[in-house]
Amino acid sequence: MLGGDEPDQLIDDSVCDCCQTSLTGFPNGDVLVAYRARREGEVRDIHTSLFQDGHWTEPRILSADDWQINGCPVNGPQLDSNSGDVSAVWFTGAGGIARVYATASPDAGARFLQPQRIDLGQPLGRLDTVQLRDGSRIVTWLEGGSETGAGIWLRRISAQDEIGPPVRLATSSASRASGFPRLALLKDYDATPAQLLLSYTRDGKDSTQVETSLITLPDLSTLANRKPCLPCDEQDANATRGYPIKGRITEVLPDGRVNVKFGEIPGVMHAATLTVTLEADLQAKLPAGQELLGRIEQRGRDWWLFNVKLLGAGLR
Amino acid sequence: MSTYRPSTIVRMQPLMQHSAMRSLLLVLALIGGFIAPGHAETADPGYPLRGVVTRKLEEKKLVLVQHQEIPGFMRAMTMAFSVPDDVWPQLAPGMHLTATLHGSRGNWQLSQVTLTDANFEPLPPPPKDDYPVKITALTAPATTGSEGSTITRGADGSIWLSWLQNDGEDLTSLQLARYEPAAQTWGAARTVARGPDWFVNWADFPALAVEANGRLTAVWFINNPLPMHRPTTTPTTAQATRLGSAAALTKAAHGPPRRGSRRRVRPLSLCRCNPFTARASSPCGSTVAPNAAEKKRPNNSTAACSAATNPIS
Repeated sequence: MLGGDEPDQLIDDSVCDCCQTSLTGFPNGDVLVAYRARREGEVRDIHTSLFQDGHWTEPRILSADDWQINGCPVNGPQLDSNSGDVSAVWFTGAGGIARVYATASPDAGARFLQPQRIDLGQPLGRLDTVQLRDGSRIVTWLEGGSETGAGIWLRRISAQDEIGPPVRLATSSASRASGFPRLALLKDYDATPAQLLLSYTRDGKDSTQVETSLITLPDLSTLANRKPCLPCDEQDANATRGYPIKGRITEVLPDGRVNVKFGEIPGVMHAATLTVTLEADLQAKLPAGQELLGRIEQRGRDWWLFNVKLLGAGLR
Repeated sequence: MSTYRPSTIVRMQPLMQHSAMRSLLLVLALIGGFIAPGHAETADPGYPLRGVVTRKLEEKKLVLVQHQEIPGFMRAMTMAFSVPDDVWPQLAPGMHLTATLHGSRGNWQLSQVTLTDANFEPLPPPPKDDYPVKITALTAPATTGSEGSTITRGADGSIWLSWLQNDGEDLTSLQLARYEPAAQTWGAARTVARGPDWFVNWADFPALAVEANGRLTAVWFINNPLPMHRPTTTPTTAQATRLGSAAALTKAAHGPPRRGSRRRVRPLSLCRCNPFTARASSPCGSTVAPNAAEKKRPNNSTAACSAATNPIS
């Protein structure tokens, strides 16, 4: 812990030393790190390790790209998370082909999906990512090549892993001086679209200049004609507040609240039984024994249960 | 048959017609004749071509493609081609492509152009739809000679821009500005620290962590580690020294500074990363625990980082 006397812990004794590392923290206190390892034969692929119960887990390879390179490419991975959803992006030059990959984990880094290639053919890497609450991910990266392609690009990857069309945010030179564009979430979807902030360095003839942009993502309703589009509008996205649970009502309390028992929410909390307040439309509709899918959220001091889907019939 | 469908059966017929056509083409080519383009386009199913763009001839609107051998038709060479209008803007030197070759000497054309990687595997599908992102330029309070920027979202929801500013001669400063959501602007730049001989590099930019109580901690890089016994007179200087030491530690872990040329350094061990600083860009930079003096400091949420509220000048 910060300021504590615990000894430093070694995560990995052979890593690519100039590549940026990336950390993301979860509500339950776990932390995921991603970094480029350096293995036998100068293979430098991305690995992750989870800080859990006071220890770092054995590093795991995120994707066996098998990039052999003598020297550090100075191109680290990036992570971001929202509750237990994780977005991971990285660059590889395996096989002599530059690529940018994106993947996601639904369970705080325990498992990752099959990586998807998201670049335009001549990427330089230098990427960043933001995980949105609705499960979709935003990725930015630097593309090299021609004037028509070079620049900072953005894509959305939907909660269903569809890769959206690329959008150029800014032109940029491939030079080192153009640095590492950085992305941050300003606000997530609520009644209005999500907004991001981007900073980057414009590499002029004689000097450099830090530039920033405000990026307003499209109304989700503009995606509504695409399949699958969930979340299809801001209301849908807004309904993804809090954390998803699969659980069972164990008791209905006299004051109308209920006790709900649910399984682990990865990255958020252990399996538990929690007393929750019900939204008005659920009042008296959840008898003891009812199995359900739903979401829980802390509002002030109380936990609330909402967005409920009943599973089967009640047990009694 | 006006279009070619991706069906084996449908494709068989034009291919057979095509061998007769090819003989005719070759004969005509040998006697110096030419085929009317319209004729070639309609009846000639073409040849599959793989190559890499070497140049674009803007005035003639031709693309030079260094292509592989087309077995039975043409050896590997570089030739000029016309391409469909919608493909033209997508092409640039260095791009690999597959295409169908049509035409004859003086009028070679490529159709069905697909951009590929170097193994001639198709690239991810091109955009089918628009994704109407709105991009608004925000004037950063940084001036000429700024670089190494990062945007940090604090645990308290605040958003900060940090960057390095070249202040002339050998002086560099670390600057901060807070985002003002209501006004949609950056607040005024604030100087965290300034010094000579900082390690300013395209890839090693400062990192910032913002706690839920609003306190900021910054890490940056200095070429020569500050001596630990450096005299300190004010808490601000002490804080700066602490940060300087942290930077030095990080730098030590990364080996000597790289200037221009990248050099190989020994394999590095990752230090412990602290859960407190989610999404810091450098775990080593964030692992340095506050020193004893820091722990004794009153936990005043408005004090923030002393460096941020008490600029060193």
